[in-house]
Amino acid sequence: MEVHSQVIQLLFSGLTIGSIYALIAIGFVIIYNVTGVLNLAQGEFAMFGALISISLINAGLPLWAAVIFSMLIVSVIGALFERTAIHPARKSSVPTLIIITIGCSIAFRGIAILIWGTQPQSLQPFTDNTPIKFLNAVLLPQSIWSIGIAILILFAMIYFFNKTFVGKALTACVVNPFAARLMGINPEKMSLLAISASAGLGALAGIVTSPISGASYDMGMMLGLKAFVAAVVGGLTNAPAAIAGAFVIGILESFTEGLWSSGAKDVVSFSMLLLILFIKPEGLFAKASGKRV
Amino acid sequence: MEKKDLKKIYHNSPAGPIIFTVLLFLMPVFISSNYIFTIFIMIGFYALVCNGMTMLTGFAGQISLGQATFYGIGAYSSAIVTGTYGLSPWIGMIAGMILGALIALIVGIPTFRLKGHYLALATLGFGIIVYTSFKEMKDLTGGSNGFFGIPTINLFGFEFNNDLRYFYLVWVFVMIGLIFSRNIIHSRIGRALRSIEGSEVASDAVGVNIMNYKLQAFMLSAMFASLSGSLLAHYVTFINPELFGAMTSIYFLLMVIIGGSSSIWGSIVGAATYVLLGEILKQLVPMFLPSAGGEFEIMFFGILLVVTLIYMPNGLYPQFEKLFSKFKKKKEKVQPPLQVGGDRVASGGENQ
Amino acid sequence: MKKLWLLIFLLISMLLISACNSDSKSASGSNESDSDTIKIAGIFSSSGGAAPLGEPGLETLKMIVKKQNEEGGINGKKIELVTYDDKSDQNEAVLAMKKAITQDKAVAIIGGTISGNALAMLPLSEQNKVPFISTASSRQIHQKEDGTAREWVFKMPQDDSHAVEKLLQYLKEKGHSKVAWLNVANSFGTGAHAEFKKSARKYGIEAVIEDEFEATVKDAKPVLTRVKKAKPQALIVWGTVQETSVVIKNIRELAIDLPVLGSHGIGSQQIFNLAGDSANGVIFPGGRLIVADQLSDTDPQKEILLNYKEEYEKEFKKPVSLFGAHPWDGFYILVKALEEKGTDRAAIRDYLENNTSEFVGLAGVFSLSPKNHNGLTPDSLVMIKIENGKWVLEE
Repeated sequence: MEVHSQVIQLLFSGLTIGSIYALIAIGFVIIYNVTGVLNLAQGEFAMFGALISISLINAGLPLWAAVIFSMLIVSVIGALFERTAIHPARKSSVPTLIIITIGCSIAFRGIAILIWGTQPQSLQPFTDNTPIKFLNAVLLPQSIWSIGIAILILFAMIYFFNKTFVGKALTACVVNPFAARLMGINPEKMSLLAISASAGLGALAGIVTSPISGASYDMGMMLGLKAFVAAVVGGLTNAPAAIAGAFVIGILESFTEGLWSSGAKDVVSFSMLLLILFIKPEGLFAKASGKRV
Repeated sequence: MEKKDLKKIYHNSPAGPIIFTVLLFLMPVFISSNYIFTIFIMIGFYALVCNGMTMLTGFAGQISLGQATFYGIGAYSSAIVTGTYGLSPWIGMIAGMILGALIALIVGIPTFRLKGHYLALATLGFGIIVYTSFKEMKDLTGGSNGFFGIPTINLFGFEFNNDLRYFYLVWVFVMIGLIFSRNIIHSRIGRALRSIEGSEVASDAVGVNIMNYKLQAFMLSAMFASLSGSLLAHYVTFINPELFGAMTSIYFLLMVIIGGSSSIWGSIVGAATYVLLGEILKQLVPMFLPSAGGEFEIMFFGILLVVTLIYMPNGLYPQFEKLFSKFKKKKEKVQPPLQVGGDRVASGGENQ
Repeated sequence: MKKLWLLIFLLISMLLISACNSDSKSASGSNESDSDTIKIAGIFSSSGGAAPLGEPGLETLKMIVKKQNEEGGINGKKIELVTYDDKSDQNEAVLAMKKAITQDKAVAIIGGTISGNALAMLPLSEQNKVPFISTASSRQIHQKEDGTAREWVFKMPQDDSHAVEKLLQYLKEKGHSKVAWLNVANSFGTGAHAEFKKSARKYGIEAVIEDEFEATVKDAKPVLTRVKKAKPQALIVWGTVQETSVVIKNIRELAIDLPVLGSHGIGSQQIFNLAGDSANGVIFPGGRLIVADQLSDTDPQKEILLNYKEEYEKEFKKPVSLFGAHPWDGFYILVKALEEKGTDRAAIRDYLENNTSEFVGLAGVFSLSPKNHNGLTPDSLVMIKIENGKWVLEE
């Protein structure tokens, strides 16, 4: 395999992994900005999305319906999570809130074992998965799906936060909840909206991932952590920045693995996290000051 | 963060702790099951780690999501010093603590320059880097295969080779740790830390060197974790990197928060709750749902955790304290003045 | 305040219930254990990462204990099986082991699904002098660093070295001398890697590239690009089912047209679901169990293999797995000792060590000795090829 085709191959892999991280990272960022909570249960939404869609397809639903339904179901789970766990504790300290999300993620994992057991499951690729050759490197249609969806969501985010009323209302809650309330925006409703939407997005991430690496009850943990790193590297306060950060981490990991050693992959991406924290804590792609989201 | 009743902190009656210690150390008189000792030894390990973290979280207002790193550093230092080089376990323990403190210093200096909960993020990242190093540095740590053949601890020819002896060893360390942190908290450093937790700006204004004190708290917490790791290594005699992953760090923070970070006694409450709840659920859940397999009892664990924190955001220990003081007052036949009102004030404070 | 009282009440009542529960268990145990039951503990990873390995083990043990009891137990005594789930977690395994030894006072312990857990459990068996029959594969489990056997520990599965040597024999026969080695980054993978490094030269085989992949691997294409560049003649992917499936899929996607060899850890039906068509053509050293019907009739194991397969599949309505076989071997070897020697732990140990020779089990023909507490050879494995969702015996 020649060097340039290897580089292209690594780029493809990096983009695929990056797009998965991105989809989870967006949810992470939205929740953090609207509610101030570092939601460590975000990866579990992806797990639910993946497993629910697999069950729906096994029950005979077509793929598109399974995707929509599982996103809806996970959004409802997200809403329940907000109402029962985050909302009652919204005035607690930050560590308490973090631990509450951890508690929920543990409970979610337990529920998943109860329903689906511990065996890993898999999902057929969305479309025919014949590899596409490109300069001696191969790109899988499933990867295109995954990257495409991430980019689509990126633009949807930009549009949503800048052009729609609800998006602007969300932004307003972040910038100044008190003023927002005066303007007739209900921050509590916004918190509910933000968390259930993030849950739906997380579900989508899980569904896209499962044809690539399978789905099991414990897939959420590492996905959530990596997405978290991606969000911090890109910029915790800004959804497009977090998506860019996710792609950076994905590509970085794939090049480390391809040119050096797979053992070093995690070291490199978490070192990147530390480096960013020390040098540019607001994130690579976020403006140092100014409004968030 | 929560308001703290300063009077309560500085006017701490020693009766409770003494009764607790006596009961604990008399326990083996009534119980002879090694299984129970093992559980208490586990609680002891975790309580030591949480003790250090409580100083960091409850008193300096910082959270660490990478405490298992230092736990691991202690364990591997002991393993390498005693297993590979055949030196005394006590040297391993001290080496681990010094190494842990040094690493905490190196990580802490850049992190504490930042505002907010960046220590949490940095320690999370750092924890995973060290975890991966444990796995990759195969010559030193044995890699994923684990480190085999760590000797037991030996003091002047007395071998800590069974559960009962180890129970005493661990809990003596836990008690020394508690007394040590109590003294620190009641000293100048403790007051400085508390002021940081209350308001950084204000303490800066009155001349408290925030950075230094935070660093000291972090280094102390690292030393506690490292000591606990060393004890663990000599107890199980076989360690592997899986023991020191990100999940372990998360569980440590969980114990601290659920026990209550406003008092060092919270660390014992938190560790005990975590271990006992796990064991109880393991017993109970299969009774009610015998057919289901797998570790789904973690579902109840998670739910109980969330419910507890929603109703008691300051953790369990303040509730114990309240109960204890109420009990005492009743005994002295003093009508508790403004009982209801007092309760309301306290719960108002919790929600801040 | 009320809330707290409620919580304390709940906790206390839970403690009481669980205490009663364990009391009743141990009470019935202690009443009967002297007279007419024999207590055996089974500790398996029936949840967590190793669940696909641990579950069949637990199920098999439950099934054969029931069968043995229905057939009259051992010398008229019923067997009482206490089981624990170690959740694939080392600490849990140690706790379970301790509970089995000190509270249940089990005569012998079977289990320890994964090597890390078994390794953490075995110091307890040595200290307390309880026979421990491990169902995990690492060689360190039954052998000390200096190569002598651990006194109280026996191990049923083949050593990693057996599987690696079988694989190397196969590669040599096929004339592949330059290979790529990839292993999963946990003790299963690194243990085998060490064996590979040790014996590859003996078979004239050289690794042109050696690397690892994570157990949670999502995309192994980056590392595979390096493999492709190294131009090996065959590719060895040493992992268990989930991660191996991902890597195999990636190999096919990159159109790397080389023979792919797997570990004995992929001999589970799951590989068909997870890897689908990509698994076709993968060859691995595995136990005879899954290809029992293809064995020649002269094979001494054929009959018991087919019987076990039929019973297991009838009972649990799912295909049999290699990992269920190890507790079977352990249990029946133990049964012989119990029949001869009763419940004296030391006598059982001595019997196991000295009197188990040419025992025909599911994993192979065991010949234990004071020097060797495993007693299998590379020939206990056969090379198996995956073809369209079926196992095919590769000659």
